[in-house]
Amino acid sequence: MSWFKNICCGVMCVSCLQCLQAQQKYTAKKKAVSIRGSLGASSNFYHSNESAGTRPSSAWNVNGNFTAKIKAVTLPFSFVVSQYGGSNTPAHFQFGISPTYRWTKLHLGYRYMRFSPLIFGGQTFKGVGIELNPKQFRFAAFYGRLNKAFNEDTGTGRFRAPQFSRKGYGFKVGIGNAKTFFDVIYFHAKDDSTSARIIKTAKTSIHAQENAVLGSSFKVSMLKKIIWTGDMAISGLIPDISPGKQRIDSAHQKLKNFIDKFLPASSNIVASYAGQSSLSYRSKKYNSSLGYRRVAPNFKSLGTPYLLNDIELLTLNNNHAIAKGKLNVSTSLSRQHNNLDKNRSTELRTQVQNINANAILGRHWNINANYSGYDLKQKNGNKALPDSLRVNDTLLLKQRISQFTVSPSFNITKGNTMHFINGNVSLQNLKDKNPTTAAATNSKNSSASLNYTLSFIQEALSFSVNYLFSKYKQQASSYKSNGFIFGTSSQLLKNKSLNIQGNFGYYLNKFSTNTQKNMSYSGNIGYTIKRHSFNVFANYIYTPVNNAINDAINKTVPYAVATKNFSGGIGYNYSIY
Amino acid sequence: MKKLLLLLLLFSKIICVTAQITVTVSTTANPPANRVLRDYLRSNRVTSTLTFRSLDPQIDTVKAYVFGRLESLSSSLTITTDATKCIIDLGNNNPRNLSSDEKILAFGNFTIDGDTTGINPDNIVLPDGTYRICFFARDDNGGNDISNIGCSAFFVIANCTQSLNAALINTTVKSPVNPVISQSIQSGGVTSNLRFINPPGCSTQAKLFGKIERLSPSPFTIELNPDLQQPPFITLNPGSAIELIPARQREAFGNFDEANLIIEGIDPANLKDAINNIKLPDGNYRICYYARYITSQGQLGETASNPNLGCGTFTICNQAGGAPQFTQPINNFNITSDIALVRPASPVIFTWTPPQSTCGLSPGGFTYDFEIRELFNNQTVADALNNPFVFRKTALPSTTFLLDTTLYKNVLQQGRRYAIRVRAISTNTNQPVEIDNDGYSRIEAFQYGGNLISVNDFYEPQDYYLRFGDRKSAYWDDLLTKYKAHQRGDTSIPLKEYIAFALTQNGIAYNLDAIELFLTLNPDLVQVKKVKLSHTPILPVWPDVPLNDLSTFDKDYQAGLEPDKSEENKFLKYLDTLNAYRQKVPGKAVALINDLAAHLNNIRTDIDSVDRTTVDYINNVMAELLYQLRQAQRSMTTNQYNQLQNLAAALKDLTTADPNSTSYLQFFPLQKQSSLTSHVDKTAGPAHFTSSITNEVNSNDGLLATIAKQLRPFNVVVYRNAKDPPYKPVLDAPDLTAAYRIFFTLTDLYNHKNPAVNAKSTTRLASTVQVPLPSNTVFTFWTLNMLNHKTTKAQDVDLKNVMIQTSKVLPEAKKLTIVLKVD
Repeated sequence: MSWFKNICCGVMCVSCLQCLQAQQKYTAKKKAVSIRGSLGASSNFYHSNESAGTRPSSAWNVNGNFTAKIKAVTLPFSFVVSQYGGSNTPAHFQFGISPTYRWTKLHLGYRYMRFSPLIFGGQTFKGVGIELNPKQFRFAAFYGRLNKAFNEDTGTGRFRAPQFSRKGYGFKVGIGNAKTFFDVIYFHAKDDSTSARIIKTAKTSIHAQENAVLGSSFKVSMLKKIIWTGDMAISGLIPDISPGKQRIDSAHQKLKNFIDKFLPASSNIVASYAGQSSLSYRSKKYNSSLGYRRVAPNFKSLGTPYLLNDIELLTLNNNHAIAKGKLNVSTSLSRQHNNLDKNRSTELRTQVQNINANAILGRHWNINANYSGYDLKQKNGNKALPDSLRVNDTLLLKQRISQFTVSPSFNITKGNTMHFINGNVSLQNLKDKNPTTAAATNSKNSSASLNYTLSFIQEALSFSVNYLFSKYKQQASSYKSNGFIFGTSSQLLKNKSLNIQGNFGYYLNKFSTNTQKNMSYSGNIGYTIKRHSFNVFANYIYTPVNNAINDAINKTVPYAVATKNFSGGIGYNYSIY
Repeated sequence: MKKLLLLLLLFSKIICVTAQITVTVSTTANPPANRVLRDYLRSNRVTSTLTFRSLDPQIDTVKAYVFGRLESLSSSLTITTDATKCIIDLGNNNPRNLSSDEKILAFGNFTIDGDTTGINPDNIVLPDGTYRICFFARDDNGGNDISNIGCSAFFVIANCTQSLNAALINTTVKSPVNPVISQSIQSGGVTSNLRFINPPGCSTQAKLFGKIERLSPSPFTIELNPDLQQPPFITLNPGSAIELIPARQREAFGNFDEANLIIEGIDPANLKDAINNIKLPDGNYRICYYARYITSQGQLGETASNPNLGCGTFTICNQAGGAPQFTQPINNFNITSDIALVRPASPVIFTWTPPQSTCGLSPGGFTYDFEIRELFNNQTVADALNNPFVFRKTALPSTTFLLDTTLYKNVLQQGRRYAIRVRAISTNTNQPVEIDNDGYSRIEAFQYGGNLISVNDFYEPQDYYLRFGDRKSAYWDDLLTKYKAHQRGDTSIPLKEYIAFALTQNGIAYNLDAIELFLTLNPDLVQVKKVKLSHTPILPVWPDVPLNDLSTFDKDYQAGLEPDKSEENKFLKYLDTLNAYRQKVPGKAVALINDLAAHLNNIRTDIDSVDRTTVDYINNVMAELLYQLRQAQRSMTTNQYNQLQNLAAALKDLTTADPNSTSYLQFFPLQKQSSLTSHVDKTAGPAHFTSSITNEVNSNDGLLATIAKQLRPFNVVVYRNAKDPPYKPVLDAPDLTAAYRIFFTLTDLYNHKNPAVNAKSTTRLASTVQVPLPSNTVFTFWTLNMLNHKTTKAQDVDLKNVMIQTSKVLPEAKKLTIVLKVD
């Protein structure tokens, strides 16, 4: 019945909003009450002969975001209700409101606040929070549930890891404003080890934990163009709060002694630290940002999404706008390595390079090119280890992934017709330099597309043809596909509020020496009236039955489609503004 | 034949001798042998039994002279005697053991023959060698043998005093090793054998001990308590290798019973898995076995093998370390957590790194489950895990997935945000490796096309919008002027006010898209509440308009400035109709209509000097007003009254201008001055804020009318956000050129049900088009993408402040700008 309660709550919320909106109409002149936002709902279904469905058999959601304003008080309110086939849990219902009056903001329900990316951020709590920002004083605090308990699902196809219920609290005290500030932050979270049923096996790695993190965050804006930010944190973690469970003593004894004060005295705590800083320069034509992050081994905050630890990262991002912005070049370079304590057998060094250029060539041409390169290189990490204990070279990762994409586009309007041509070429290569693994991991993928659309402006009618090519090479297998998609779209009714689209695609594929084909059919109808918009779509992909070839393709080339799929959905959106 | 005869002869001789023997002697010499012969003989480890079996029933006993003899196999040494002192009586079938003394006496005077080097006859200490002790009986000293020679098995006289480390243990470990070490041993993962290198015969007993040491990182040891001396023991036999079977190896660790173990360097609790098995953490290890002798007293003695030898090294690497990290389309190697914008394309490429092992795990051995979930507004990425997945692919063999959006249609929808996560799963089901976070990567989010919705600096332009009556631009302008003249200091003003002031001062019409554009160009301002008036904002760079287009714009504009007789006549006709309605309107609208009619009658005579564009707008509003009046002739609802008020206000806006705006009179080739009512600028200061609509009806103070001066050429520029970082606004791009048709109408004429009613549209499609508009009013604008025929949301564009402000700040400027955001 929980889903029923959830729906009722949703309906009540919507009713309240309708009432507020009605009130708004009658007080249009005074504008004492105003409301804006949107309400959306969608439902999808999917049927296929895939062995493991790529989409849920059915799914629906209702979501809304509204901001009501009553004189000087604003009431941002949001909710999401969602469910899907096979979730094995009741419908998810999430709602929250943040009444705001001048420098006071109250958070009720499912809300999130950002303290620091190392301490508390990117995590919703269900509870109560408050933010006070009078003049230069900054204060924020919250208390609530961070995680909902999920029992271990012993059924097949378990996709969600079990988890314990987790409650947490935190506060932030600081001075300054959004441009320049200094905050001191504390966060504490503890799991309820009795809240979920998790089957203990030798492989079990999920334990109830307790965590305290203390840190600070700062930002300094200088000369209007330079911004220096930093975050530091010390974490104390009890990885398993079950009786009798302890962990390796912390390597950082002084930190441990310090953070011990924030956790139960009897516990054996793993203490660690993390810090990051960035220096940015922003101008009209040139932006640059240099960042550094160091996360010591065993650092963990339960107030942030999973953060990789035992890493050191250095990044440099640049962006140049040249020729009045007609040529925009962005570059980024990142270097990361683990094994900060130099006591691991191996150390992974990762280097990522990226360059992206976007050029506007006159009034009709645009071209975008992007290159990304990733170097993954492992080496022996502990120099003190004797040769006999060193990891054999055959076990060391040594890969280079290169990716190049170029996307030109051209458009021109002549009289009543508009021509739009765009293409895309993408090449990807994974080169494994470890000869023992190369055969299994080397891959080469390439794809290209060329699209031409002809639009008749007055008639609101378009036709398009799209040529697609893709080639995937993995191990000894190769898959090549050539396809065409023919499409049309039209806007009907007096004010063109009814949009109808249809596509037909034909793909001829070659897998090793076998041939196979796909046919795709899709249709989309959208209708907009005033603030309401409706959309209905259906897609069908037909792949002739040839189990042997299809199975082989599905097993070897997971990117290819060698199944029959039918999907559809309906969506609705209502905007208040 | 000759050989056969010899063999028969030998056989008959043996039978003949055997027939004379009536006493059987059997001798044993058990280890440990004692090289002091007398002591050894005296010990009960050397036994000899004589049994007499009479061949003659008449003879029951026999007197036997027992002789002792020691023979060396390894040398020529023999010890014997010619005259025994051991004379015993043997009863028929009655075995008799020689006593300790009798064994000594049997050797008589211990006659030593052969290699006698170093042997003291008085105290014979046997040199190392292989020996046997024999006894036999004669019927007299020097008589005939009456027994066989009963010899013991050969025994070794050697240093059998449990020599230190006499055993050699060889241990090897098969990789990979199950971290639950007892299971690894049980399954034969560790093989070990023991070779005892003592001289033959030096068998002894020992206890086997096991020890596991982690060498790196942070060393610790697990070993069987070295003082544990309870069985089982093993017998060490020289020469042959003993296979230490798994059961024996487990025994060497006390069957991994914690009570038998000594664990140092780590808390034992840290070595337990969920079901209390000892599970070794990652590291480099050696496992060693050694033996300790069991002394003759049953106590633990010295080490039988070197504890530092007998070791096999191995690596436990069941923790693959860091979970996968996304590299594409979201680069996880970045310290910012901004949501990335992914260009709509097919395929969309997703790549990630494999689990980052720090202990030498094989790079392969993983499959990946990849999933995409929609992220709704006001949700964090962690919340997205509760939403339905929109796509999932399991058991991917590589760290790349290419999503073909032409076949997987509607999975990703433009403008929406998605959360992605990948999980690495070990393919070794028997011995899966552990990956941080249970193999799940950090959840990342991206937006698929559309204008980027920033999570970190999420703002709504609506939050910064001020209605005309609430804006104080003229007041701020005065303050800024005084500041520049050093008459007063700088002033911090609320951000909302600053945006309105900065936009209109720079000739940009005030609307939500302009606010968003301004904030996107000045992201630092989003985070502040007040801004100093002297702050210099970053302003948009307008696209270049081709000269041909500029020329065409000017021509069109000039044409629109001319008065039009037909429009004038239409106006006069509508005005007459309005005057006729004055007596017919319901009570509450009488004052409103009378005031309006009076105002319009005042300008009646000047309408022939007004440009046709403005009069056209006036006529449109009047037509709508008259329609509304017709509808409400008998009774009037509040909504109808409000609508009438709005239309009346629109008419007054269209026929009123700012008296201060004389500076641009020169641009308008008017035939004569108008006498229309002028609007007094009500934005002079905070205390005077009133709407231009509400007060100016009765403010006909005789100032020169400037109705025609309202018509200004506005450039309408469409823009979008960039698709790549840092996501700056793009105002000049081919996809914006000649792709959008601009629609607009007076806000009070905008028909929500059918926007096409009363709407005007530009004839040209361009990123920049020009429209002449009366600038003391509010228009509603929207765009239509001619490629996909999608319209943008209609929004009000307030031209009022632009006209007022720019007349002061930019007197030379001809072109004012309206910006509209498109996707």
